[in-house]
Amino acid sequence: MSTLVIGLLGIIIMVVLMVMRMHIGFTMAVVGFVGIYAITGDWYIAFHVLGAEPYSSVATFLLIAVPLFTLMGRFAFHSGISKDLFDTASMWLRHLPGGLAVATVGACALFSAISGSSLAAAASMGAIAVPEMLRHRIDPRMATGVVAAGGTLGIMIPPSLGFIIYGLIAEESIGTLLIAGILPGIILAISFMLVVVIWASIFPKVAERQEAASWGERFRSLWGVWGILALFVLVMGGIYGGFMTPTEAAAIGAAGSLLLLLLRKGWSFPEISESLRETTSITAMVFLILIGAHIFNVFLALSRVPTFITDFVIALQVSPILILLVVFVGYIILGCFLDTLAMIVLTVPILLPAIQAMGYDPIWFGVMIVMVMEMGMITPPVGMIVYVIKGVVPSVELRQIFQGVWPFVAAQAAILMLFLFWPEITLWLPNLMRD
Amino acid sequence: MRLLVDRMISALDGASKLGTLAGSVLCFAMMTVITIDVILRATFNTSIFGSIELAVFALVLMAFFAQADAYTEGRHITIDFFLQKASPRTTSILELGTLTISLAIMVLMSAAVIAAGVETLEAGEISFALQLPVGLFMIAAGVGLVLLCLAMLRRWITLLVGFRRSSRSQL
Repeated sequence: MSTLVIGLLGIIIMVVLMVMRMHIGFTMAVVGFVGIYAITGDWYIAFHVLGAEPYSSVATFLLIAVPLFTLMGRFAFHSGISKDLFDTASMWLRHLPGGLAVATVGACALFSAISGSSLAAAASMGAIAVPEMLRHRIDPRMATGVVAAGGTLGIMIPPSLGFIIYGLIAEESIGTLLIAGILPGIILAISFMLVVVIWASIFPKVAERQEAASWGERFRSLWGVWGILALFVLVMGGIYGGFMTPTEAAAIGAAGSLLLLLLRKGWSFPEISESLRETTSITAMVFLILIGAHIFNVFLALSRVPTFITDFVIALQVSPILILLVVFVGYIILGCFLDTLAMIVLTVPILLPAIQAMGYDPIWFGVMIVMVMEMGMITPPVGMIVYVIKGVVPSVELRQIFQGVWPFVAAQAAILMLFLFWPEITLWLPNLMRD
Repeated sequence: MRLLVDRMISALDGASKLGTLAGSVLCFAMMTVITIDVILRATFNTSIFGSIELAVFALVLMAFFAQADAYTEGRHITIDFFLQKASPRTTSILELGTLTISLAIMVLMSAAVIAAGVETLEAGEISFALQLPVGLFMIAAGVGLVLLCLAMLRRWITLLVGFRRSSRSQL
């Protein structure tokens, strides 16, 4: 059997095992280990990889950014900042058509600036914003749909775990990736706001218009969120200006976030210990996937599957845009079933060489796939974020939440096309940084 | 016998929780060390000697010692969609099967990591700045994986016992 056939068989077996609910990290380790033996015919080599990879894939200074950015988000979450973010956004935006829903997008964007997780953003803003919107008689479809869509900003606007993992797998600069996510994240947030404004303008009954707040009230409301804004500027400014590595920025961000928690709640040991415990648990989960991915990648490299796919794609003589569209549709479908991190570690090593061979920038591709994967997370039949919101607001039917997300999915698709045909938008900030 | 098993299970639970507690302390330590390092560099143009190595070793211990508790808490990611409507019996059989494979690979991985650690220790490999024996941390990583294996074994036995009971009741 040729190495290529073994490689392709390995991928099929891995998918079968995953469908059978085997943990993703274990699956990749098993297939990688057996695959290495099948190709080399030497148990010792397979055993050696199994012994060396777990330690070497974890013992990296760069990877410390994973727990520390997670910790930054957890401290912020437990500080109860979500309520202040929503109140501030509401003061500034509630006079617009669908004002409270527009404010929710703004609050989600601000929360995303300190949290790298979409699920955390959706859960925390869902608990605050949805009851408030329902109280103001905003249509439940709009109220829940906007939080689901806003939640996806969590992984787009840095700090984002998705970008960190992509950077590690693709061997690209994590700092550049984090900076690259800022502009697309802001554009996406503005497009969600526009969706709400247009929706509420065409169907005024879906959202009652609120009275505008005075300028005094607006500026006073900023007092509650200055810390978050300062922290974001410090962390991203540090990376952008080259004063700090992403890991150092993550440490400063986590320490700053802890300071905010202490300022807001005083010495609150339960919240601090819970944040640390959650961070440790999430880190263990992420690292098990990474360990599995490293073992699996050794097998992939030996099998030459990525090279085969690259040659195959080049030989197709089809427009690269068409190939990218097929890839993106595939990611949207995968996003319905798989977690973002798992998708990145599974697919990037296989696809990235082909994408680079077509002449696309790996930083741009990273931003694009994270965005596409997030679309999958609010698309039926699974849509993990939708289920999180259902858990937070059980009174709203799942069907209504899915109905509510469609206009936002359409906006995401439109923005995706914009970035596809004008990659310069995504690469503008990274290029400035490189210069 | 039952008392012994109960004691072993509670000891395992304690070890898992202790692993996460240690991970939490190490996480806090990483944040503190790196933050102080950055502040010292920015203000006094100096840094803590070996801070990077300390943080990396802390990360290794944190990542591996928290595995057992993360597994027990069901943190590790699976694709649940396709088996959502499967019967509990089918789900149990599949879980038992996949868990057996997972347990086998993790036992092998633990052994391989510890073996690599002993090899590194014997070779006398030390870290660049602090000159700490790297092999010790590899062995510690392997011990973390052993804890994970024990947590998996506990789940495996629970599934097997439940499966046998349901088979008997069907007969």
